[in-house]
Amino acid sequence: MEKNLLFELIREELCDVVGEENVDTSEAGRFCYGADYSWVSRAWVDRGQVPMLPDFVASPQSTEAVSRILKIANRHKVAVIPYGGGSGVNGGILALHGGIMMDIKRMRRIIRIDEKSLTVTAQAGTNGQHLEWELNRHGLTLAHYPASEYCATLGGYLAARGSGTLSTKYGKAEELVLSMEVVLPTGEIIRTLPVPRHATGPGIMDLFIGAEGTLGVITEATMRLDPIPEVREFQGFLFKSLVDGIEASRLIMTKRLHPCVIRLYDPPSTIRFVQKVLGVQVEGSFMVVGSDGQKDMVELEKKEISRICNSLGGEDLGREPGEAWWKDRYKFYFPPFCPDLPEMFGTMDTVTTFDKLIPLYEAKKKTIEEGFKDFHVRYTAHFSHWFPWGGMIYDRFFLEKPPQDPREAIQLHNRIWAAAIRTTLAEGGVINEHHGVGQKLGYFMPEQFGTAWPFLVSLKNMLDPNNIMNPGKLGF
Amino acid sequence: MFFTDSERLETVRACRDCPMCHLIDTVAMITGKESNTPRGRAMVLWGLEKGLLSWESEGVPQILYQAFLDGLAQEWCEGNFDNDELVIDGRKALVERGRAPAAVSTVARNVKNTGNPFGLKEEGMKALVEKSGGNVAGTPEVILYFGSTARLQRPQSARALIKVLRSLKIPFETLKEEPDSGFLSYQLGDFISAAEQARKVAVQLKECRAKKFIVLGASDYRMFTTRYSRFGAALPEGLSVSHVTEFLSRLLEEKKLSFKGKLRDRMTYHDPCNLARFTYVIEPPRKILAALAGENFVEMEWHGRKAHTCGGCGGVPFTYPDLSAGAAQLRIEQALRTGAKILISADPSCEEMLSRVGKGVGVKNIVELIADEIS
Repeated sequence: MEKNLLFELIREELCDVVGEENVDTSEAGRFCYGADYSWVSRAWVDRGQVPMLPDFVASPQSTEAVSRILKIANRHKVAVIPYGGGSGVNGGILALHGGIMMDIKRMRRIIRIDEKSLTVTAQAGTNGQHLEWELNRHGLTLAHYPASEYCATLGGYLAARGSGTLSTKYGKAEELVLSMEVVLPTGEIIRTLPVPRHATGPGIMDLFIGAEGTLGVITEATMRLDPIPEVREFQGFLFKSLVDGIEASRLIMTKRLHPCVIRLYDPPSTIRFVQKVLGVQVEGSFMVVGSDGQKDMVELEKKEISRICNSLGGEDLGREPGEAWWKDRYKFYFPPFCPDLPEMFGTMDTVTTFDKLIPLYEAKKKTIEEGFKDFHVRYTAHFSHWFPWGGMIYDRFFLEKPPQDPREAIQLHNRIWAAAIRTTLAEGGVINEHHGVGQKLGYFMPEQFGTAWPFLVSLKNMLDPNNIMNPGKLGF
Repeated sequence: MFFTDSERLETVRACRDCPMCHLIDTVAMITGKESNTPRGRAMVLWGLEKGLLSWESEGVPQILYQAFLDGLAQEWCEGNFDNDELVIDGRKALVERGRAPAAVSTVARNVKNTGNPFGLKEEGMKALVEKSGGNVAGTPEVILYFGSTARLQRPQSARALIKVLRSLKIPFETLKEEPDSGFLSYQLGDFISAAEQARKVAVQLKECRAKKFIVLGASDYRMFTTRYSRFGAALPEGLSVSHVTEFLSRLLEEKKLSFKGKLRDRMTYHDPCNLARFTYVIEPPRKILAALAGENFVEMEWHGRKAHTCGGCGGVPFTYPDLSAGAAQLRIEQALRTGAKILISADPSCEEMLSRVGKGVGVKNIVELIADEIS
């Protein structure tokens, strides 16, 4: 946006809402919002290219301030991008059309912990780990442990439909939420029903969960809690083949056991991550299974899990490697242990039913490794979030020496991704389980939603007539 | 100066994309801005590196000077990247280009004219010692260094140290006119002033007779032990440097220091970042507090190497005092959560910051406590 009179007028209006110290229009201040955790945005800046920047950064502290900012944006028809921890991997916060970056991290008040009903109500900008620490002081836990916990916000958990490492037992963010306060794109503040289970019409909450700020701004949420379990134990198993590991996982889930985690690495990721980060020298498919709750129940569950794993040739590695994984579970995401530039990489996770898991894994591996063999692209996967009916493939591609030219590199990145996604859709999977859509995958939304896509577009047009809410994301 | 070019680049690359330490940056907690996170600072430095920003770009000085440099990000970082030194490197470049905040040149001018960063006229070391009861007769066994904050803002801590040495009958000497250690100038990126101060201190130390150098302030202690040689001001050979808590805890172990009895008030301890994270002086103050207070000494949730800042570091009290006050308030709230009535620390700068906002809890230097209770 040109720094003309209109720019000054908008700036003044924003200052009127949040105070001058909470509106940043400086070049350097805005530059910090020029990339998120997506490979494309990072590579673009890494190669010295000018990032897309917002015109304003505004930091509200209340729902009312959010509402007033949205009204200003509507009046002047400028974009608003809600910003939490900036840990999204698909460009969900990129300011593609300039506008107002609404950083919600000052909205970090924990409003109420209900120790009787085991719920917490907090503002959406509350840092995930800060929230967890406060709950722990009360003997409670949200039990939501995403890799982004150190930086992500409660609002981000919900807006991105996130999963934590223990989602197999405790559920994804959408299963943890009871109610929300949302500011609609036109500034109206709405509150969903106090509890999510009812027979009084559609669930309004679902419209905003996973909408990545395209349909409104989540400002407050009430979440379900659990008591901190009496014991939480992790065991390591080693399978000769991935197929046996997947079958063991299926049996554990379909026998309706309740492990808090089953994390199964394919042989390449066992080498790349388990050996490198945990220092566990194993070859094959490494699995961590966790059980938590009352001690005697846990013992019983562990016994049954061991029996299933052993019956499929799973070698019991004992508690040490499993506990090491839990202790170091976030270490995988710190440099130099995480995938990092200059390497090219992408996480193209998917979810499907048990019957399609292996064919889908094999099809994607073939698509990536054979389709891009000239580029020496490698494919790894782990299976880490399970449901009563299926599981998630957390798969990644890696390319050690990507093209230096940023445009060429991005074209290749998109080509690999498109091939993987079309294989996923053809094999009965969905685009992803918890990495969101952002800008990167927006153009696949019509393919994924099919006949339902025009309905979503109509909804977007109705709620956001001026298309101010995070434009260019989620296919809108 | 403290990074090679390759170390600097490696650190910028690691930090510019990584949000994993967002949660422990106190400035970010206060402002809620991405630009106030270690990632944000590294992103700006990368922008400067690639010419996407210039040193004249609006906001660069604010972002680089709104940082406490308390070492917690590196402590938290699984990869052990030193974001703070990166920021100091950036500050140095701003100073060299005349783009640092006005407070930086004010500090430099004050230090040059008055020997302290506050620009206050001092009565001199002799007067300080005399007003505190005077020296002990005999050949000096130790050299004392009080530091600018103790001399001018927290004289009670300097007086307490002299009282303790008088009680223990330990003759001491001081520098003739104690120059500022240069630590603040280093943190502000003014390496020329820092080196100048360092040389002045080193020269005066050579004139001293004692071989034990006892330092009251945590930042000065870090400066002497980890930075002086890099600033071209090596300390005299054979001189042993101790923080006052190390010195006194040794005397306690040797049973040369004892107390009247156990204190009844509940107390907690704030670890100065320059002790706990940069020089690893963690146990000596705790040994003293255990002896003084027994079970009435309780830890804060964030303590030792994970202690939060008091807001007094990184030169922020001089450049953005409101941020410092905000950080001190957060730390006081953590102290109050322990139920303590007294908040002890071991650095006059920490005590100065905390006492400015410390309603509901008394703030004291550990040496003051010892001076009150020595038997």
